[in-house]
Amino acid sequence: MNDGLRALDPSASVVVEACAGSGKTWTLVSRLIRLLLAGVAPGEILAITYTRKAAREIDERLQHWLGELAVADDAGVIAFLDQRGVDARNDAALIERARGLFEHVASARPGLTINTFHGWFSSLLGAAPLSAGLGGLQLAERTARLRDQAWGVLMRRAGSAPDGELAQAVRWLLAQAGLAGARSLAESLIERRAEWQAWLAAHDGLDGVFAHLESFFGADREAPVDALAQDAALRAAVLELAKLLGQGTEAQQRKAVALETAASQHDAQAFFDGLCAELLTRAGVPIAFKPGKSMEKIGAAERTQQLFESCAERLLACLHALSDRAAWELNRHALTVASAMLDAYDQVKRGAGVLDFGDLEWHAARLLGDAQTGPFVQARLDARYTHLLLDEFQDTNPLQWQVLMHWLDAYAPDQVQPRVFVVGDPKQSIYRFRRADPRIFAHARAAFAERFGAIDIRRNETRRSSPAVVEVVNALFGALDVFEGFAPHGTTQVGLPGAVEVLPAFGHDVDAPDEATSSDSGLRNPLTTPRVTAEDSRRRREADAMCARLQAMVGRVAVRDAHSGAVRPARYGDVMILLRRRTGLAVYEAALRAHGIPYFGASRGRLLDTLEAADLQALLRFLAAPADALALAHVLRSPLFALSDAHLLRLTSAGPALWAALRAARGGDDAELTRAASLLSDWLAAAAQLPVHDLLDRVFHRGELMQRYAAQVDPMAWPGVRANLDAFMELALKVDSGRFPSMPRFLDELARLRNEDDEAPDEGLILGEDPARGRVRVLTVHAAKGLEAPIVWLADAIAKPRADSGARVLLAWPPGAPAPEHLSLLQRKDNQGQARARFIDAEARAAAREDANLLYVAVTRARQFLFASGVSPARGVADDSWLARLQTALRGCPSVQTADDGALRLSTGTADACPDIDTVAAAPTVAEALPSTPVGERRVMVPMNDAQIWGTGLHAWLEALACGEPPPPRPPALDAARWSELERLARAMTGSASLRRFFDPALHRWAASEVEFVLPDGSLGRIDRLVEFDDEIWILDYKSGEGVGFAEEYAEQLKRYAESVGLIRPGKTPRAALLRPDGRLDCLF
Amino acid sequence: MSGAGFDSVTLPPGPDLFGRVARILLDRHGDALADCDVILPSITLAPALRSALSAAAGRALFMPRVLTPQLLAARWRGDAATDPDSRRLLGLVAQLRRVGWLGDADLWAVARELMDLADTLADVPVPDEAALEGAFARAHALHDSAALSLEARLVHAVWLADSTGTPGHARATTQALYRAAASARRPVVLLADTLDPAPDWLAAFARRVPVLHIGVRRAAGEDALSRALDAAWPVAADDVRTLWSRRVPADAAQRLRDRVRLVSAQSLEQEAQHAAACIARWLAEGRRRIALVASDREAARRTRALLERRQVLLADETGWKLSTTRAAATVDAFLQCLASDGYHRDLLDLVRSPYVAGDMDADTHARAIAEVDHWVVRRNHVDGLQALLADAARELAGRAGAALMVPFAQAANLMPTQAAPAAFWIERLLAALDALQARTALLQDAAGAQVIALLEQLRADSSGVSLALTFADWRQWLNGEFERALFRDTAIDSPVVLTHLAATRLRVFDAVYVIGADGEHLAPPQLRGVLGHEGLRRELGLADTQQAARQLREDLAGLILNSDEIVFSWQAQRNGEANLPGADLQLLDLMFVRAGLPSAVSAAPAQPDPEPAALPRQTSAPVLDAGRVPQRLTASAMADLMACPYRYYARRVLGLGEGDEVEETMGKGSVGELVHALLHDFHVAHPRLDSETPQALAGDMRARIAAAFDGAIGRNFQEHVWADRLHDRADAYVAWACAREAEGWVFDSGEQSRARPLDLSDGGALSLEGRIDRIDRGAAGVSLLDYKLRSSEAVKKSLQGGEDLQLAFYTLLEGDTVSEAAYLALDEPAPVPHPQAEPHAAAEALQGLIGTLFPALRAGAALPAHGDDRACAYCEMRGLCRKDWRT
Ligand code: SF4
Repeated sequence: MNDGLRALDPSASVVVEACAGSGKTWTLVSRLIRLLLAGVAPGEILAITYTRKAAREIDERLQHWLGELAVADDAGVIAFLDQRGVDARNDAALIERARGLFEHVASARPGLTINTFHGWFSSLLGAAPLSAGLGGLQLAERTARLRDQAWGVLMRRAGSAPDGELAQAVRWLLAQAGLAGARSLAESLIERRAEWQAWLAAHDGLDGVFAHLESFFGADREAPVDALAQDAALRAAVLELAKLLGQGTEAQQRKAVALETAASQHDAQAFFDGLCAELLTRAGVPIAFKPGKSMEKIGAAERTQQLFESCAERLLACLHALSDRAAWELNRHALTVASAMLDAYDQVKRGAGVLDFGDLEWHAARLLGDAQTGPFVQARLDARYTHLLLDEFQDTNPLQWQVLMHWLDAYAPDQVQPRVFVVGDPKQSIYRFRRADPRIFAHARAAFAERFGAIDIRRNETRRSSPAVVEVVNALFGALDVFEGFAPHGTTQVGLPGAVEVLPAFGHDVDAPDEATSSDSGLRNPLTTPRVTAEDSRRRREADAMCARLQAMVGRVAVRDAHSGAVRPARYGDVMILLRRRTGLAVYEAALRAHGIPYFGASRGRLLDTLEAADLQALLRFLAAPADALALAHVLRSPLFALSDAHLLRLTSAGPALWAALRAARGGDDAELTRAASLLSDWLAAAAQLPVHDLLDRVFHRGELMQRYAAQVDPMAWPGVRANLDAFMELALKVDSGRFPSMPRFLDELARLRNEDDEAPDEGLILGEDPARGRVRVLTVHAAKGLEAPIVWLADAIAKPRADSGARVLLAWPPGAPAPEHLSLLQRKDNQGQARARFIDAEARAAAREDANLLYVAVTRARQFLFASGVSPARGVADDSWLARLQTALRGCPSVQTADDGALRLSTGTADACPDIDTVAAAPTVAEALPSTPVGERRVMVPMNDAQIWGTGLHAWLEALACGEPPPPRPPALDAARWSELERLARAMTGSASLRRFFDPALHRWAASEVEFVLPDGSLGRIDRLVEFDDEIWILDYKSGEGVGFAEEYAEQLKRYAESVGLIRPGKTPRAALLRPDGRLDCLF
Repeated sequence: MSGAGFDSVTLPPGPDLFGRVARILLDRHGDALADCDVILPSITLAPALRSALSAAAGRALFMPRVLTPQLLAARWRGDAATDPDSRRLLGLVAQLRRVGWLGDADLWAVARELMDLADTLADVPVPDEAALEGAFARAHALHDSAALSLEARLVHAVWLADSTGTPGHARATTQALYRAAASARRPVVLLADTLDPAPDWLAAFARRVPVLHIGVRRAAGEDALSRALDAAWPVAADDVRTLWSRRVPADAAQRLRDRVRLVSAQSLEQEAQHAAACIARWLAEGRRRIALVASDREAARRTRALLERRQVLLADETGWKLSTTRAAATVDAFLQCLASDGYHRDLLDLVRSPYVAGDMDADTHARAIAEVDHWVVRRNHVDGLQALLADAARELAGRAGAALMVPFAQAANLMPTQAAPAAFWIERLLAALDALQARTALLQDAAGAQVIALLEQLRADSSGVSLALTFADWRQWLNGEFERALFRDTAIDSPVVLTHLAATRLRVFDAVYVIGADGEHLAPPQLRGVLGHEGLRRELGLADTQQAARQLREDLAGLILNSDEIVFSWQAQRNGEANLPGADLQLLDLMFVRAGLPSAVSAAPAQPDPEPAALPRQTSAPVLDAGRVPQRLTASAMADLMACPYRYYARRVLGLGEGDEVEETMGKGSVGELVHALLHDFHVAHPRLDSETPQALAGDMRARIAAAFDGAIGRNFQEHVWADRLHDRADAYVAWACAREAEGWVFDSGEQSRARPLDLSDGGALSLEGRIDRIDRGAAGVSLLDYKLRSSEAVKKSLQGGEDLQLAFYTLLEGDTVSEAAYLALDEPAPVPHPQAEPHAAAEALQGLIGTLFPALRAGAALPAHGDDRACAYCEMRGLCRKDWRT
């Protein structure tokens, strides 16, 4: 059996390390099908992947395949199964089972779970026992507001005890790091709350952590400078060194004197300073010391060298110890504040009844780790998983791993042990910032091999990329130190033509524009000359070159369609532009626009920054506060009103009360102003009543917003603007349909969303693209993970990786260890300390590895063609940049060619001949049929008047008494006194001598209350009481009203009733009467 | 009439259902129909039954009495006491608090879950505590789980309280039905619209009167339509055949395919547009009885708005949570003001409510709001309710804003400050709404009236419960009630109803649009928590998810059978994630394929691009009339003009500027002002430094710093950041200042306003104006100092490029006596001066430039919007210059 099929074997546990493009999803979903075929119940399967998007993709693929199987003929089913290592040729039952899987899975309860870790954790929490204290808590996806509140709580707490420990620590931190720095240190544990809890648990709480760190940083030992001063050996060595040097050159003699002076200092600090000045540079490294000829002459060269080194070393040790102390000081204060911050944050969350993602992980670990609640949660979830499938395993973090292990540990030894299937690629681990730890992959491989006998499978064959791309991948990563464990890739796409081209770095413009034309005064005239930005044009040139290249390729170069395999001319939709970071994004997008190249932006989270969204927000701001003249001016200049500056000048001629001026202009000579004034007045009135979404809908509709925007926006940008306008509307729908909506709250919420990085709403998706052209996708490498394209352009390839910096948690948690090995806070170089250097180094190595991984991900997105370009840095050289690495790799390839412009190019295979450009007809648009008249109407709701309420109550009583039912429920509008008054009345009526025959069953043949019937004209009649005697039939209508004309009103109606009753009960004389509250019977006939 | 007993029949769903029901009723009861009670699942079905009856009878007849179980129960509830949910909840929480088992949990949520549970169990005979614990343990296959038996005990306790004490609503309903059964005299016919078995109380009726239970079940082979449907969704629950072997002939499948369309959209907007267009088309075709089934409520809401644009109103049967209405938001805004101690944003939210001071006319209202807005900003009121109210009473007296603030003060003072019973809180809240003059306005609005009614109901329901609640606690309870209460706007009559799936049961439509038919929305509800366990549900005799899924499928089948045309649509992607149609719909489509037909899934049509309006080309390079060219110029206006002429125009000519906002924490600007002021005061107090010791000077400086920052630190501890920093640097500052004095520079004056007229070449005049931080006098002339609360590096940076004209401007203002002009970088351990290289030359150059610019402006030079990236980054005029869209 080949490796690919072994991974599908339901009876085996497997760990698959699969390179990019090797078909991970294919394998995972195929295994799911094999499991189901083998009779594993859907509820026994748990598949976990890294993102919701990926989970949905797996689900989609699974359902799609099962759907295909459900309607495939025998040959189809056999072929499908054969590809997945199952022989169904003579097995009708198996074929039938395969066809039934779709329904089987769809109807299974509990069903098959395909989820993310977070999703799974949240279902674990949902299954927590009530006693776990998690009841009713909601998951908060937005936490920035909560953090703000927590900071407020913390500051109040500090302020309430200004001499307390917390207050002092806060002030220390503020002085040390400033406000922003102090806040980020204080918040640093929030993201790492689970690790922090584990760290606390490992040291029995905060005091334990402090004790540990104090000794770790050596802060419990004698002050380093004092220790140095008391180091007799050092003093002796210094004196000896001075003595020897004293016999040397003049300079050496001077140093000898200085050393002697220093050594004679009693004050420890002076001793230390003196030695530092002589032996170390200002930067704190040993000076370049050479004994020189003079020492050789006296035969002391070796000795002086030795003495110098040992003294310098001792000094360095002291410096390190000092720096460690600084690290301890930082940690002592910052951890005090940060853990108090965590408390405050918890308090705020509790008040709001929410959990955040960190809590989710932490509680999941806690619940499953507990001997009581662990089994409880498993039992409550009703999920006895026998098969665990873990996708993108390289992105797992230590805590997730721990939760998994807890889950697995809960399987009793006598229970059926689960099978695990792990797939991932440590080479594509790029989520360190989300705490992923790729080392867990190797750890899991070993752990699962031991525990479940998991087979180790490594796949290095891509089904995606052309040989050219693969050759470069091998050259690039085979030689890279940091990329340990790389095995050369192969490809199944042997015949796929492809090329890799690396452009030379774009440097400074040779002919930079002259310094701005200046006025006589020597200063720039701002009216005529814009300020020349320091920003240089290198990136613009790179972007222009890229666009020109892309334009030249589209329609001319042949690509093979990924789905059909057909050869066709390249379209813009075949191109993916990858960037490591967002910096400079605007320049690339502007170039694309300028070249008329349609594109999808990489503007995740930037919806609210777009001008169109700003326009709508300005409108809402104005509607919330009409005095906001700036907001109004903004709206007036937007396409909604498209006023000119002349208009604005006119409106402000009497001062900045813009809205008053605009209203005054209504109905005047200017149609535009009139339009603006009347629409805005209308919306202003509506704003008080309508929810934001409905208000915006009115704006879109009555303001003809889309038509007007379409008129003003550049055609290349229009699809994006339109998508954003739709997205804003959707946002309004979502945000505003929450609890307790109001426009000010909505605007506050938008302001907040805009400032929150990971929550800021994305720009709208562009739909309905022209299929003949498609759109270039501009993406960050992170966002491109899991995607591919025939043509990939890696731009900005010289950019430096973002270094870990600023306040952060330093964590060392070896895979599989129950608790972290180290956790402390890092802030700056000067309080980094020496004691934790190895952890910091390990992080730096991990960062370097991740940077290489990112390049691997970028490069392996390409199916056929890969381009790379970048701009040379303003200072220094970038020989470690991606571009440089690619250049080196390419140079190492035998068949590389160098173009005139210095570009390196490697191509393989014979290029496909390009067929003619296919034209696609534009989709016809259908004219919409509209109902000609308004549909539906709003009734005017008239509340019941007092008499009506009274009458209804009497009705209810009479009916209850007549039917022998208990008292009717009292309507809220009637108080108890009036209610019992009604009861008395009703009883008097039904019991009165004259009326008894209508209510006492013994005195009539038949009676019914509230009788409905259909009148001949189809309308519905309703008789309060119908009483049948031997020869006549009475229609009673309870009437509580008074007045003369009153009875007549009903006469007509009752007459019609009587006629109908006559029809239904022929042979009886119908009689009709009104029954008054006083028991009077008005016979009508 | 035959004797007591239980009969049941089953009928297939479809347009003729009521015809069949009518024939059965007439057959069984004939003329005695008027003596029967027909119990329908929903009163909306009554008209259909009545017309079917008269059609079947072919003559006039007395109708049976038509009821629903709820209506019947209401008649028999009598004056039996029930415990309203809000009150039960208070009691339960009080109890949970007492026992204290549940730690930090949100007890309101837990209590609600337990109550729901007791209600679910209202019809179920619950065993004794031990037996229930046993059932829990069995279902979970867990022994000796303390957590589990705690839950069993809790469930049991709640159930017991409900069944032995005053019953809750659900149980009271059941009890009333039994009471009705016990005195039943009329035959009963019950039409069931779900798969649930006949309720137990019906059997109690059967002991006294004839009972007919009419179940509605799909038939497998009645006609082509139902055969095709049966092939997709087998009627028999135990059908083990696969779809492949259930194949039906293509023509049968085609019948079904003709009425069903499956439409996948790419976005919410596209889906809603498609739905609206579809419904509009149906109306245009003359169809009536149209349903929009809101599987996805957001998409449905969007569709409703789009239809309203076309003047199509929808009758909304779904209802919204009361908490999502503006009216409820006003109540919450008031409470939020109290909760946040008068936080300014909450206050501004409240005063903007159209209900507060609702009887004011719109203009006065707007003016009052603007005034309060302005006042809050001017005072920089962050929070602190009592201080706010006192200030407002003093400062706004007799002004428009008082019309808002006085009622607010009255309302706020009405609210209790201590824990109090719920009824008392509500009482006061209602009084507060009166004080806010909001009640009348609320009552005029449908949702508002419901808010008031709910509050009154809650007051009545919770009266007598003595549990004292803190404000936060009470508010949580109240929020929960607002969440649970449903607001339905019933005032619209329309052929198009907006409804939900369950409400469509047995109803016949001309056309139906199901919006949001994806796997997530079109799925049985996910049960969680105590009763989420399938095994336990079965153990207790409750419906499990399997049954819920079957019911869902039957609801869909019924909908298809009952409508001439039906469209299911969904968004094929949501938030960038794949989103599949509901599994039942996929199966339906596979059935078509199996029958040899093409898939019924189609993509929603792309929305055509709007016809661009004819708009004039907009430019952003205004030209000013000579009269509008400013006659004053300050240093910062000059900086605007240099950075971007358009910005200068917007700010200085139009007079627009971002309305100031309340500064919640001290920004650099206010710290700067504070520092300027304290340095000025310091130097005024010590004109000659050499007369005092540096220690004394530094001590005085520190005292001034403390005084200046005291208030700020009291409000927010974090303001220590500047206070401490300045405090630590006082010595260094004094040392620097003394040294400067020793060099011969003596403090002369500070905060000096200067104005200097400038005659321009075109005869116009311009007044240069500005305020100089500090002027020192020395032997050679005067020295101008400008304090910068920035680092030396930052100041140096801003000087590079030679376009920083501030010092030149001051030099020009001050005139010939100036011999030095410098910035003083203060955010350093010791102050660092950055003098202007040649002050007079710079001033001259500046004068030259101004002399060119202003005559040019008056002569009609344009003010183009050409700020560079640095200028535009934080420019608030971006919406006016529209630079983003220019290429
Ligand atoms: S955004 Fe830029 S171009 Fe527009 S006004 Fe502001 S500075 Fe000028």
